Parts: sequence; structure tokens; C-alpha cells
Amino acid sequence: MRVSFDIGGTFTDLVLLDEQTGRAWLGKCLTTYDDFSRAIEQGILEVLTAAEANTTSIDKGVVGATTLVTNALIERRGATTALITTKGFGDTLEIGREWRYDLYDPQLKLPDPLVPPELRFELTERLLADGSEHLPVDLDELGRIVDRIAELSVESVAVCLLHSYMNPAHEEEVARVFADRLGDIPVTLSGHLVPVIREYERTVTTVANAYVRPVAGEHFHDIEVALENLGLTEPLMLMQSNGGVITTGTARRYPLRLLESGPAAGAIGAAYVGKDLGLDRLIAFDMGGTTAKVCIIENGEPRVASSFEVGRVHRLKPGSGLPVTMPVVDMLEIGAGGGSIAALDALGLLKVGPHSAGSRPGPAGYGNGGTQPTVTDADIVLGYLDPDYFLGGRMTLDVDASRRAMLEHLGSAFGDDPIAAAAGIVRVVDEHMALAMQVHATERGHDPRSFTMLAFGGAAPVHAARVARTLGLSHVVIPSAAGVLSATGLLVAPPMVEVSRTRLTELAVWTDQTPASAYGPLRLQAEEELGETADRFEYAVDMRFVGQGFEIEVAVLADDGPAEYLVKFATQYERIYGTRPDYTRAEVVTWRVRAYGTFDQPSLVRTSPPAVADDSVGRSRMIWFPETGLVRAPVFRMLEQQPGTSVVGPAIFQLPESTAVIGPGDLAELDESGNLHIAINLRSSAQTATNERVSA
Amino acid sequence: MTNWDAATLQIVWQRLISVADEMAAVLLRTAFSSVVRESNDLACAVLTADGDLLVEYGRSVPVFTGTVAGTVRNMITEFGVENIGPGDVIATNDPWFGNTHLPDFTAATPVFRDGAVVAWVASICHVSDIGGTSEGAFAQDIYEEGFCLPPVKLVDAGAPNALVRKILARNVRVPDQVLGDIDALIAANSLGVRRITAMIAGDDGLDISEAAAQIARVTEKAMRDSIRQIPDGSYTAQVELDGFEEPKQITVTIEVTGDELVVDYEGTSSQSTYGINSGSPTMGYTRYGMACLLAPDVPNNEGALRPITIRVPKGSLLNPSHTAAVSANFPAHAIPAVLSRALLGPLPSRVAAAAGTPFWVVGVRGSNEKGPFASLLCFNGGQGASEGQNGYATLSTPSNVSNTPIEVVENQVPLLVGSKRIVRGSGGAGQWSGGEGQEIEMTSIHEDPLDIIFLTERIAHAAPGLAGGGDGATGILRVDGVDVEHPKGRLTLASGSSILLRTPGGGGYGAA
Repeated sequence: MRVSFDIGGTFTDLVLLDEQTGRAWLGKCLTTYDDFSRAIEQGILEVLTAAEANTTSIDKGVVGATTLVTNALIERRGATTALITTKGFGDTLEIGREWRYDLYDPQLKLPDPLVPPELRFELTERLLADGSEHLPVDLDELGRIVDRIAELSVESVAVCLLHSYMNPAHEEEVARVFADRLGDIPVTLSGHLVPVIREYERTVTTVANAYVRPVAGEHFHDIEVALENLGLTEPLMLMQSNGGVITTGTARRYPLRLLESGPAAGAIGAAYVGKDLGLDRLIAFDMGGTTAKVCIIENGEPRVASSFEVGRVHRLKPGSGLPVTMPVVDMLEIGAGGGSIAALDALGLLKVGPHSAGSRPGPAGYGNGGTQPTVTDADIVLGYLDPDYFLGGRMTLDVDASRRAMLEHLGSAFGDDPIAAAAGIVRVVDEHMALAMQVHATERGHDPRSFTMLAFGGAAPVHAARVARTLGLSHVVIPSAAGVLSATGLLVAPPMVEVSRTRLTELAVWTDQTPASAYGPLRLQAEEELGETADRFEYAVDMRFVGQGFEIEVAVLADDGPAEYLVKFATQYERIYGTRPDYTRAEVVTWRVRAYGTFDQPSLVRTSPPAVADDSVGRSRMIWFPETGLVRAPVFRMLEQQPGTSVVGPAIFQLPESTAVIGPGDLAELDESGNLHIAINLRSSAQTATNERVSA
Repeated sequence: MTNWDAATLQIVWQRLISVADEMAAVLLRTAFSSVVRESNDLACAVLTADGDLLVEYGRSVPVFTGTVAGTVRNMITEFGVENIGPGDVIATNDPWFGNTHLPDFTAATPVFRDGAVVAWVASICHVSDIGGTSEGAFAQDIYEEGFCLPPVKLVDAGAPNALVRKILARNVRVPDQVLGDIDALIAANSLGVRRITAMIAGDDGLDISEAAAQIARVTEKAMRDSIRQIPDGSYTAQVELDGFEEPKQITVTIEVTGDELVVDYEGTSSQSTYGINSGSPTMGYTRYGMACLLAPDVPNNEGALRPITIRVPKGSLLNPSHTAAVSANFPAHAIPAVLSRALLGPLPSRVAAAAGTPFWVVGVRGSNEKGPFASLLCFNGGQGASEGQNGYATLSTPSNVSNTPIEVVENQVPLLVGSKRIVRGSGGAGQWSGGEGQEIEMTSIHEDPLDIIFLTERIAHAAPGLAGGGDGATGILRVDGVDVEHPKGRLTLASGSSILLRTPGGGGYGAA
């Protein structure tokens, strides 16, 4: 058996898996902020009890995801961190890139630098752009800096010297002096963590790693102690932002790699489910209370981006946060969730979000004192959510409160018709999500129409069919395992490390040694971080035409030559930008290696859902669609239906945690594993909409 | 006929903005000019069939979105709508067709439906070089400044205009890069055309001109509501600048009557003999400055312009003769600050003190074994303070250009950058202090001399504080320790020689 945990902001989820039978037991505890390991300990005991097993049954390492690294960074609860830069560049962190993310706001706010001026130290040394030494490290000066840092009760040190992406020797020299003098203080070197050109972004990344390093180390230690107390001695593995798991040894040095640990686990879980269904192009669509998240998955692998922004001052304004250069599952975040508040703006336009009613007071229809209309209220007014069967009947909804919220806040713009106002909210939010997905996909060279949408999370199944229709996408799947995708991801993710290095290389100057000299050191570094001999390597490069400033990532093979690089790059370029310049001077900017550890992937066999008497026969309610207006539609409980059940919409399938809305003319069908497939009727209109039950 | 309720208008508007944003992503990623890709010196917009601004890319450089409509309208007039067909791309860099200055190219592409133009998409970017003095301020007329292309069909019914490309390539220092920039503009527009075409094909009811009328209507109303908050009257302010051959001043009088206003630059200095004059950027920065003051949350479009009349005296720094040199139209960057100054009384919480503007530019040209290189490096001063907030150090205002990372600079041009630091205390004092400028020191490590141009401002005239706040520190430009005689000039930098520059601080707000 194996076990995984996912420490989230509110809950710590646990899953115990019996690989022999494929059976899984789920646990959920409130996250214990004073000591995160308590919830893990408690949760593991709970799932073991449920499974009538004990700790000796767990024969594989525990795998976990944690939100602690992100929280420490966003809430600024990291260590007192000092930064050492090249002489003359102590302010790089504060100068930033000098641009404004909002043109029209003279009072925009920028994030405060993680290291204040008095903890930034300039060191005399210099490398040139080719990595050669211009000035050696001034060791006397360095000695004085170390003295000063020792006096200042600094807990962590970041070193980012110019051009260290070409040559980390000077940074390594600094690290050696620290090791000799102040061996207890962890030192993060930019040339090891993120040897990528552009000093501001590299400095921020290095500093962020140093900043979270002590607190992350304690956190991992606490978890290890808790597991030991339970008698679990196999090494703890942790999920990184890139979708691979890693030992705690490496995670302690580079905790920043865990920044998007939880979301990455969800994406890996979605990819696994998609692969299981034989779908090679997926848009994973998760819509919760405050945001929606979207991830593109191709051939069973979520797309990984090379940078990410953390701690935005304005969550939805790119540029308002700290840029982190780090491989991270490429997740689009949209400010649209069930709790997103709808309001008329100064121009009289209907805006939905980014403000959210959260869980308290929550949507008006929750009856907890909320008065503002939210997306959930619109779903209630349109009949999509069952007031008597919300969250599987655990909560009753106040339809009148939702209608009142519509009338009071939006009535003036919609003829005092709560249905029209609710329809407006749903149109705006669905369109907003579809547009964001469209842009996200096309910017990465994909046509969303060729994808299947995998919808999960509280609100996604309600909106998925309509969003898909807007995108022109014809197949939506609501997975039966929607609630445990993150846990699934944790159990099926292989150990993997991705390392990269900037080495500007024009294809024209390629020699037989070029790939070996680029990939050789990266392979060594990757294996060192992996802590074992790699099972296999994958290679990729970021390329551009000479003179351009943006690169695109191209997967390559170890023995490809310059001709293959150029063809693969040009093909990808054309796919993304729609043009193929006849310009042939191309260059590699960044070289990437992924090393995979040996891994025995468990197979999650799902048993058919237990046959339960369907007490929903004959149930129906009035729901609204733009094509039909209010129409009576049948209501089914998804888990009580037999495989093969198929229905033409309009119809509603209720899940324990969500509701799938089937639009007019859409065909919904349950497969053998209990997943609901919706074929979107893309030519749908009021005329083609029918309301008959094809079979049961 | 679409039912334009609050949801529909929001949806259509958002779709159009998304088109401009997507176009910009293509332009940014495929351009070759360092000032585009690292400094974001670009704009993308969607316009109506008549050339009225409909939406702009959110991170556009403000001046461009203030000028693009004029350029496209002039293109339509020049060709005649009957001579424009599907697959055409019209481009120009001519300042007297509404363009800003010669290094900026505007490319516009019509969107057709059923044989008629229903919209335009346009992209603008600063190309890598334009021959002549290019960005330099020291030219004495436009002919000296570089190659000027009046509006031509760069692509004619889908076929690239080989002749124009050939002529253009011969007239610039880095032809491959400039043609790459032009192709980036074309690619951005062609994506815009595809998106708009899909929008109107997918929705039989959607009529772009109807959408434009709705968008302009609500925007105009918001603008008028905002103007009405300002008591009727006349509001005047002045700001002093270094100029070129002599100091210059910009004077503005804002006359508010009900829900309309007139911005009049009567009293502004006469035009310069050199390239610091501003043609269309005057309009761009006036519109941008008024938008920040009156309706910062309202997207920019034709409707925002209707209640505002702009008058600029002929022959002045802000409206020079057609032969005047205009490359370094930097005085126009002071316009938002002078508008702020004028409206301090009625809008104390919306105005901001002057920034240490404009961004300074060091142009570096030369050649090595790989061929010629040309790069523009931009350095921003401090932001002006406002009520309740200190100005940020080194933040691009009112323009919006990023710096080029030092590691990228050193990979592109043979300069060794010795330092790049914030100049502590260089922001104007005050209840809220101005943002600080920065100091950069860089040395040529090229064997041959480098051809350097400088664009600077506020070396003699500080960015003024507001409401009793102090002035920002003035800037400094030295080569090998000696003040540069012509800080908007050109010089040859010998191997081993060093440039030291210190950008100006922003003004403070409120008495300290």
C-alpha cells in the first residue's frame, strides 16, 4: 500500500491506495497551521483505520504536496535573508524592469523586494558576457561582508552575480567562504538554482528560494518526524511545481521548486485520468470558489512553463508580482469562481469578479448573510443547482435570497427580471473563461477545438458544456474521480528533475561537441538532485531567430544535429505564430534536461460504481438556457446511474460535490468507470433542442 | 440587431480587447528590435471601418494609442476606401500622416466582410533602425532624420511588396532586423484579422460599427460625467524643460465648460531647430494624461476623445512645421505632468507630481565580425509622488518602457556596465516624496570607436514638485568624468571610455 497527503489552505487531503486491488481510501482533515504534521499524522491513522490496515502495510514512500512554500512567500513569513550581488548591482532587486503593469493608475502598488537595502551587499568581482573572468572575487571584501552578515542575525543567504548563468565559479567561491565561516547559514547560488540570463528575474528567484529555505526545511523535518513516529521509514517524496516528485534532500536546498506543488499534483492527476480514457489532448478545467484554473495536457503530460509570477499585488494583473524563473506546470488562472461577485461598473457594464464573496458570507443563496449576486446565485436562479440537494443534500440553498440579490444589484440593467440578470452573469463568466482558454491555447500553438475538456471542482461541471460550446470544443468529460485528482497525481508522478542553463549558441557555429558540452553538465546536475542514476533523460531547448528576444521551447533528441534543431524550431514557430520567416539564422538560448528516476507506476484500477437504487426517476425541474428559455429538464444522480446511460439535454446530472449541466441537444453518456461524457451539439439552436430521454 | 444589454456589451468589448492583446503577444515575441522585445515599445489596436479607435492593447505605450486612429484615418484618405482590398497591409512611418516619428512604423490591415471594410487592426513598433540620425535629436530637419515611407501597400492583396522591402532594406543600417520587425507587424495584424473575422462570422448579429457606437457611447458618457465634476473655469500651468538650443516651456490652459473641456497650449515655446519637436505625440499624451485624470478605469477609445478639444499653436514645440525634425519628441512626455499641475485645485487626489521624465536613451551603434549592430538602451527616472503615495524609484512614467537587462545589454553590444544603482535621496522632498532616479556607469570594451547618441532631459530643469512638494534632483551625463556638452547629441566613444548617467528624480507632493 502507499499513501499520499496534500496540505492545502483549508484541508489536508489523504489517500491510501492498495495497489493490488486499486482500491483507495480518502481522508480529509482541517489543516493544522501551528504544526502541519499533526493533520498528516491524524489523517494517515484515519485512512488506515478505514482500510482496516496498519502502518506496516505501507511499503512505499509517502508522497506529499504542500502549500507552505507559497504561503511563506505570499504572506512574507520567510527568513531574514541577505543578498550578495556584483559590485554596482545591489539595487537590481529594487529597480526591477521599470515598467508599469497598469498604465492608467498613478498610484499602482509594486511588491516590496524580499531583501531590504541594508541586507544587500555588493562584492567586487566581474565576469564578462562570455563567462570569462574580468575581475577576480575580492576575498578581503568578501570576508568583511561575511563578518557583517554574521552580526546581523541573517538566517539565509542568496548569491546572484552577473553572468553566473555562464559560469558559476565566482558564486561557488562565495559559497565556499560561507561554508568555512558560517556553515550553519544556507547559501543559495543563482548559477546552480537557475542559470538563466536576465539578472532581475534570476535574482528574484534566487532570493525567493533563500527566503523560504529555512522555514521549508523545518516543515519537511516536522513531516518526516511525524511519519517516523508512525513507523513509516521509507523516504518522503515531495511534489514539485513541474509535476515530478523529489527527495526531501533536494527539496531542502531548492524549496522554491515546490511553489505550485498542489496545483501540479492536480494537473498530473488530470493527465493520468485523461491517459486512462485514451485522450491525448486535454484541457483540464477546474473552477472553485474564487478562481478557475486551466491546464493544457498533451500526450499525458501537462505543459510546463519556464517561469511564473508569485504574490501578485493585483492577482489578475500580470507584472504586479514577483517573477520566478522555474519550471512550473503551465496553469492559467482566471478570476472567475462560484463566489465571484457580479456588479455593474461605472460604464454600466456587467462585470463578474475578480472580487469574491468567498466562503463567508458566500453567495446570497447560501443564506449566511451574503447579499451580493454571485455566479453561484446565478446558477441557483437559472435552476442549475438543486436547492435541496446542494453538496449532496448537506446544504440547503435560499433561492429567494439569490433572486433578491439579482434584483437589488442588477435589476435596473435587466428590466427587473432576475432570470435575465442571472443569464447575463452566466453569459459573461462563461465567455470570460472561454476567451481566456482560447488565448491561452492559441498562444501555445494549439487549436482548442481539437481538445477534450476535463471538468472538475465545485463549479466547473456546471459551466463546462457552455464554455465548450463557446470554444467550439465538442467533448467534455466529468471524471468520476474528480474529488481525488490531486491525490491521484501524487501517487502516479515519477521522480523527476528538470535543470536548464543559458548558453547562447548559434546553429551556424555548431560542432560535434556542442550538444555534449551543453547537456553533459546538466545531466550530472540532474542526477545529483535526483539522488539516483536516471532511468531516462529528455532534452529540450529554447530557441529563437538571431536578434529576437523571446524563445520557444522545442523538444529535441539527444543525437539531433543542427538541421533537426532548425526544422523542429521552425515548425513550432509556424504553429504558434502562423508565419515561417525565410530567415535561417537561429540560435539556442537555453538548454534543458529532464531526468526521470526509476518508478513503478501503480495502476489505479477503478471498480464499477456500486449499484444503488435510483430514487431520482421522474425527478425534474425548470432550468433556463439561452436557446430554450425556461424549460423542464430531467434530473439524475450521476453515481446512481448504470454505465451506458445516455441522455440528450437539457438535463442535469447531480454529483456529490457538483452538478453537471447538459445543454439543449448535448448528449450525455456514462462510461464503464462512471465518467460522464458530454458530446456538445455545436450546431445547437432552439429548433434542434429536444428533451427526450434516449435510454436508461 | 444585437440586444445591447449590460452583459452583451461587456462580452463584445472584452473579446475585442482580447484581440488587441493577442496581437501584441505576437508582435512582442516575433520582433527583432531590442526596444520592442525588451522595452515593450509597441502598441496594437482595433479600429472601426472609419479608423476610429475601438480598443487598445492594455500595455501599449500611451502615445501610440493616442496617435493610431489619426494614422489609419489618413491612410484611408490617402488611398481611398475603394482602392483598399482584402489582404492589403498599409504601412508608414511618416510623422505627417499621424505617426510619431520615423523610427516608429504603423501597419494597418483592413478586415473585410461581404466585400466591405468592417474594421481595421493596426500595430505599431519602434524598428531597429531607420537610417539617417534615427533617434538622435540633433538633426535639423526631417530629411536628415532618416528614411521616410509615406503610406504604401507593404502587402498588396496578399503579396509582399518586394520593391518597397528592397528600398527600405537599402536605407537602414540593420536590414535583416528591420524587415523582421516589419514582418512582426504584419504577423500581428494577420492574427487580428483572423480573430475579428471569426468573431463576426460566428455571430450573425454582431455588427462591429454597432458595437463601436455602443462602446463610444458609454465611454463618452463616463468622460462627460467626470468632466462635470470639475467646476467651470480656466486652469493654467507651466513646466520648464532643458530643450536643445535653449530652454523650452510648455504652457497649458484647460477651459472647462459643463461636460466639455478645451486643452489649449497657447503660450508654449516656439519650435526647435532640432528634433525635439512633437507632432502627433502632443495629441497622444494629452489624451492619455486626461484619461488618467478623468476616467482611469475607462478603456481608451473614440468616445473618450469627443468631449475634449485640443488646440496647439502652429509653429510651436508641440505643433511644428512639416519639415521640422521630430525624432526625439520628448517634450511631449511632460504633457501629463503639466495637465496634472493645472488640475491640482479641482482634482487634488488624482494628480501626480512630475516624473523624472522622459526615459533617457543611449543609442549604441558599431560593427564587429558578425556585422553591424544597433541597440537602444532605455533608463527611467523616478515616478512623481501623489497624495497618499511616494513615487517609486526608476518607474517609466508617463511612457511605459522597460529597461534592457544588463546581461542582455552586454550580450548585444560591447559595453561593460560598471553599476546601475538607485540614487538615494534624488526624489523631491515632500509629505510624499518623489521617486528616485538611477545612476549607470558603462565603459566601451570595443576595439573600434562606438557611435553613441544620447537623449536626455531635466539636466538643467528639475521635475517640479506639486502642492508644495520639492523638485526632484536633476540628471547628470558625463563621459570620462566630464559633463557632455550636447546631452541630446552624438559622439564617438573611444575604447576604454566611460559614460556616467544619472536619471532625474520625480517631484514630491505636499509640503514636507
